[in-house]
This record gives sequence, structure tokens and C-alpha cells, in this order.
Amino acid sequence: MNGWIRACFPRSWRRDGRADEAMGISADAAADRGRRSPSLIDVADLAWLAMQARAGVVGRAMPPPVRRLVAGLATASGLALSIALFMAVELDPGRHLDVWTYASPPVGWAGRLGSDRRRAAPFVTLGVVVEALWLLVALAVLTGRRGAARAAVLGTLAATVAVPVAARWYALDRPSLYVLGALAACSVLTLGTGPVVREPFAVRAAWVAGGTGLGLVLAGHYGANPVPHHWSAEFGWTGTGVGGSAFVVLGLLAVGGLAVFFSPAHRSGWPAAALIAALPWAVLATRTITAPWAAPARLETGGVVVLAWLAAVGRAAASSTGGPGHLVRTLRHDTRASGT
Amino acid sequence: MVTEEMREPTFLVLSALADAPRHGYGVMREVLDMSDGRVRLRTSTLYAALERLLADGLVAEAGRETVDGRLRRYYALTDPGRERLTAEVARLTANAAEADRRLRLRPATA
Repeated sequence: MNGWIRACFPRSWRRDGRADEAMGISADAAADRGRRSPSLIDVADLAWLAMQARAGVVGRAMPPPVRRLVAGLATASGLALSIALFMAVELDPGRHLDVWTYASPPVGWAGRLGSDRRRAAPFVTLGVVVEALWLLVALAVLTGRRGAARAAVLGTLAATVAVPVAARWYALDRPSLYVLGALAACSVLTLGTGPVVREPFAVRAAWVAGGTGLGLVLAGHYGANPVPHHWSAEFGWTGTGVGGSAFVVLGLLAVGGLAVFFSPAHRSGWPAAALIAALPWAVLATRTITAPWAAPARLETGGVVVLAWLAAVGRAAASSTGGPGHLVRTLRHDTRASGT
Repeated sequence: MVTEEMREPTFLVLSALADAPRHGYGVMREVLDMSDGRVRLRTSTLYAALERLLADGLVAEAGRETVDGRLRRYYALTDPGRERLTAEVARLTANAAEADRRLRLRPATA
């Protein structure tokens, strides 16, 4: 077992002895407890350390404000992307919810692989496994359970990797790889920076993402269609959840962005959280109209969304880190070894 | 103002090195003793803290040896590390003293 654990560490750690030292510490601890070899938990802990070392997280401390911002962004994005994916794909457009009754075309970009594939009944794709795990992450973050949050994020990463394999094995539908890749990136970032448990910024973003998603699902369930019809050069007027959600995003940006721009307080509030949670929606909305000839439609929903989002998030980032001046001071402070 | 106070594992690792240089497992045992068995550092936590402290110059490597075929690196507190720990102890002491003073101001109930 020692061989493969050692191989998990990066070459630099194996060369300068840090890998052997870490394994030695684990072996010493096991011997002290009367064991001949480290327990499975200790082995998993070593593998986790090796993964952090490979990711360059260990030994390269990120300034605390940046770490909190990255962790909050990654957690909220993973959750919001999962909710968006669940609503746009897994609920089977045109069958369960009125919101998606006029779904046209089918959401092939996010889930359907072809007619030879089967649905993961009662849902459309296997992606629902990852999406459910992200909800667990949100619950753990909201209830302040750091260990549970870390375990749940690790679960999302494992599930994200396992879904394409299982889908291929059982010929089931799955979300496309770029969506799964984005979710995996959110998981790795959250793991690397540490889940932000009860951090106001992440908690607010989680509430906004969850509340928006749940509200739209409930509204659709009871017959109301809160998503306006949407025009694109490619498909004309449609009622797809994805296309229509571009307008939801624009609404969030208009309200949240204005509030953040004119907010006198230098702290991240609900508007900033709304903007962060809206990012995956913006990405999903623009994804439907990427054909080069669809420039007018892309400009309509994509260009405005992305530009407004970038400007507003820049302002939100400055607020949440106390502004550029404070960030520079913090970086200097950390360099002088006081951010530990 | 967004600042991050020293976290407990970091504080305990620095404290474990305050009186003498120690190797990784020695630090782990010392932390367990100092916290009355409450804080049992995992290898990944200990390493994350040590690597950060090394990068920040609060701790320095103070030698290596091989015991029973296992490599051990020894770590020692540097002067900036001692200053940082002293400042943290002063901060915690002042906080505790203030809390104690306020508790004494309030008349006992029941």
C-alpha cells in the first residue's frame, strides 16, 4: 500500500523526502495506537494530503479574503448550476412542469446524447445524483457542519467522475461533459479552499440560489409560468427554461447590480450573493445561442448578461474583500507571515 | 476590515515548538497533550499548518534523522514565529481577562 500512496504525492515531495516524512508520521501514530499499519482513515488522510500537494494548495496560503471569495463563489456556483441543470433537464421538459411545456428544442446540449440512450427514470439523466449531492453541500454549509460539507463536496467530485462511466456502462443519458467539468471544477475549488461554513456571503448565495430554483419549480407545478417566452435568432420564440431564464438572470442583474453599485457599505450583501448565484444561469442562458450566425440573439441575452455580470461582480468582489487597497494591504500582511 | 485570526491548530503547533525543536509526530503528540486530548491533528492538517508556517518564515527546519527507516524532519520556532506567538498569547490573555472581569461584574443568579 505504501507504494501507491507514495506515488500519489508529486515528484517534488517524493524527491525531497516530504512524502516519506508524512507517511512516517502516519505510521508512528498507528504504532502509538498499537496498530501495525495506518487505518483506512489515516490512509485516506494521506491521499487527501497528496491531492492537496498536487493541487499546490499546501504551503501556498491564499490571502484570507481571496480564499473566502473563491470558496464562496465555487460553492454557490456548484449549487446554482446544479439547480439550473435539475430544472432545465432532469424534470423532463414538457411532461412534469408547465414551465417547460413549450420546450423547443429539447435540451440536448445539457443532457440528451441520442436516441440510443435511455433516461434515468424518473429523471432524465444520471446528473441528478450530482445535483442531489450539491444540495447536501448547501445544507451542510447552512447548518455549519464543516466536516459534513467537506465530505459532501468530496462526494460530488466522486459522483461527477463516476456519472460518465456509469452512463456509458448502462447506456443512460448524462449531462454533457462541459457541464460535468464545470461542476467538478467547483468541487475542486471548494475542496482546495475549504468549504465556507456559515460565511455570510456563501450562506446568502446558497439561499438565493436555492430559493430561486425552488420558487420557479413550485410556480411551474401550480400552473404559473414565471419564465417569459424568449426570442432567439436560432429558434424564434420559444418557452424553453434555459432561454427564458436569460430574462430571469437579467432581472437579477438589474436589481442586484444596481443595489451593489449604489450600496454605501463595503461588505458583501444579498445583492452580491444574488449576482454570484446568477452566474451559472447566465452561462446556461448564453450556451443555447452560440452559433456564429446567431450574433443578434447572442448580443441580446449573452453580451448584456456577461458584461453586466462582470462589472457587477467586480464591484461585489471589491466590496467583499474590503476594496483593492485593503486587498493589497492583506497581501503584504500575509507576506509578513501574519495571515496564519 | 477582513482579517483572519490565528486558527487553533496553528496556535497549538507554534506552542508545541515554543520550548524545543520537534519532529512532525512529536508536534502531533505535544498538541494532543497540551489540549488534554481534545485536539488530535491529522497528518494533512499538521502538514498544511507546518508548510504554511515554513512558507511564512515562522518556523524553520532544524535537522533531519532517520529512525527505523522513517525520515524525520525537525522544526524550530524562528524569531518572527516567537514574536507572532507572543502577540497571539497577549491577545488571547487580554480577551480572557476582559471576559473574566465582566463575568465578575454581574451578580450571581439563583
